[in-house]
Amino acid sequence: MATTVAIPLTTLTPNQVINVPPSSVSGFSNATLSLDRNVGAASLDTSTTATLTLQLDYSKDGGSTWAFLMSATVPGGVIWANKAQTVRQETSLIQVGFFAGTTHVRGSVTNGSVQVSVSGSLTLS
Amino acid sequence: MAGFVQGNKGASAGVTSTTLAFGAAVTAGNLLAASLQVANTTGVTVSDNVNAGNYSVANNHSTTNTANDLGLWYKENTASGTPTITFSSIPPGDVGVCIGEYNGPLTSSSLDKNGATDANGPSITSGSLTTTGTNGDLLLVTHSSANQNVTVSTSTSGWTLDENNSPSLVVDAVLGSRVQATAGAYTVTLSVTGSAQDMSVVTAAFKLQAVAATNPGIITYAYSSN
Repeated sequence: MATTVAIPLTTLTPNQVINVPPSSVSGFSNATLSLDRNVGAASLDTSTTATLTLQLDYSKDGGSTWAFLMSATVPGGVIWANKAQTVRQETSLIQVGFFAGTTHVRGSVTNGSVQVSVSGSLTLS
Repeated sequence: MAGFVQGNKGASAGVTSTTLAFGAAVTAGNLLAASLQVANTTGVTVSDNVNAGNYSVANNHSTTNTANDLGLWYKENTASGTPTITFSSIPPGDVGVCIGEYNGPLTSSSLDKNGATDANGPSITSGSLTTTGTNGDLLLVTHSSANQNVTVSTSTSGWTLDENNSPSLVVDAVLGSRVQATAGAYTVTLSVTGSAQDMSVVTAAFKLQAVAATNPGIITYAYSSN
């Protein structure tokens, strides 16, 4: 069964960082860090100049030391989820498996220079 | 021994760039490969944090059907270190990425052949390409489809999907390989679970280095005069 750490709805000031606390990966094979694009007063979809960075790190020693695993840049404005541009993308996320020996993962959301509203989660599955 | 050493795979939704890490240091001189599936790969560049300059394009294919576009990039003769590979300037969308370290290709001018094929069905076979490598070739394949969250596989003899994130709710992505010992024609077939759909494959062949001749050993006889 998946386990989820919620990122409550918040409006981020420029350059603000949300740190998602470490989670044990025991029994899981994938991590997904996701943001809702259509929430709050200044949503990602309506804040066309906004940018955010999603990042996942991993630890092989119970959380004492950390290494980079995956990241992505999330833009503001409407994004289409398919090539035909018929499905609107409601979520931005990164999803990745674990290297052998991984004990913990943690996430972060780093805002760019524009105020923007987000909620989301870190899910292990 | 030529072939796959290590890799990683992931998926992102609603992004314009994404970066993926190797889990261990790469060996200097090896070839690094990076594949990307997204609705539009036009303008995408690939780089890492241990090698200078962008990766070379093996084949960046705009599909003629509803399957995602897909591309295969490579960096010859990598420096040592533990690279993180970045796919930049992605038109905003959902992406699947795979990266791999491969031993054996020439450290320069290694790209021999490349091609792309679009088709509809439960499987797709790449167009036949004929390699010319004097010492054989490392063959790579990547795949895209119109419908995601299906399992991608291959049963073509000699081929292995080294990195495979399918089924993925975001974008299915694979990176596969085969070592071809002597020059000649090759194809590879990939299949998906579920019903027929638009798909595409990109393949590329990289010329291999000569393998050092096995030293039969030197036998030394010692004589004593007593």
